[in-house]
Amino acid sequence: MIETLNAHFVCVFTSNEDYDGATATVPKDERAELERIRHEGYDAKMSVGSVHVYLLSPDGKLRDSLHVAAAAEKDNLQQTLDRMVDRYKISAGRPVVTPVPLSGILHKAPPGGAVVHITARREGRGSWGEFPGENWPAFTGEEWTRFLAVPVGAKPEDKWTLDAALSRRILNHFHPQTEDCSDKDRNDLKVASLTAELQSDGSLRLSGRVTLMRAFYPGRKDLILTTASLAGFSSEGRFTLVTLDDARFGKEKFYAAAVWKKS
Amino acid sequence: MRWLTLIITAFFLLPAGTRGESLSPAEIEKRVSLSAPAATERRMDDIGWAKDIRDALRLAKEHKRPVFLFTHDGRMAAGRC
Repeated sequence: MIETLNAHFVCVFTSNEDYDGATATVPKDERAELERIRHEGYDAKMSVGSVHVYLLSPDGKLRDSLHVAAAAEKDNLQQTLDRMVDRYKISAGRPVVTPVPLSGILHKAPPGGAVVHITARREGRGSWGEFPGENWPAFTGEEWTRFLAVPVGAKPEDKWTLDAALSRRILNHFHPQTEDCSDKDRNDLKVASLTAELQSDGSLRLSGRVTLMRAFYPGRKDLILTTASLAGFSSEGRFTLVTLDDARFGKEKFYAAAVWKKS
Repeated sequence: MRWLTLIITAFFLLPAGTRGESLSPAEIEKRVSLSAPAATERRMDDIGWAKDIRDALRLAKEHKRPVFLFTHDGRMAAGRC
């Protein structure tokens, strides 16, 4: 499938939040192109919807479409792609856009700052558990230095509480995927605390706790209790924080981690 | 609210080892893989994506290739939703 896409197609994906309604951020002419494609689908009585595959001719006309559920069935999508390749007699070539890790181009640290990579997923797989949620909260250099600074005069085994607001910026993402996929701080954080203990080698041992309430669907009031004990360390340009075995999203076990490596 | 208070109180009564204070940095690093995406779960990174629809249409015309457009809710690149 990936080989077919790279060898024969120009690929593009869009987030509906960027194109529709109050959250739209893309320019008008970009939105107009998506609208035009959808209208061509309505006119041709093709499947049209928000989570869809659309296949356009080289001159940009809509030629086929699939709802994502249909695309995921058996080899429907591969067959649909193959029909397009046959129809336009496209010989295989190199990808017209060089593949790059998407996360790397979307999340860059401010100069001198840090971007923390947070991953979280349910223990069970299947719907909503098949892939982890990922977030990349960014910190300025001043914030990151302050976050992990050892208090003046601290001795091994001394403990202190890390900055609450900066801890919150990380722990706010310690929950598995939900239908609400916004980065916005919509959680009711009951507990979000991190404690550091200075080790004899100068590194920090971290411990903490997060307890948050989050709605599965945006705007709903049926909040899910998410709780976890935390352990981690900070040493030599590396920060790692993980949930422990008591982590629960509702009744289900989940895992989360926050990682930063000095580049 | 009472049950939430009980949960929070119970946590602080747990023995220290249960809270992960006995985990070594290597053991903590190992736990990262429990939530991090495997390479097989980031296969979308193996596809070359145009930056937007207008860019895709321009490239399609230039290279005489059809366009594969995937529209979705959420942030595929970020894995949220």
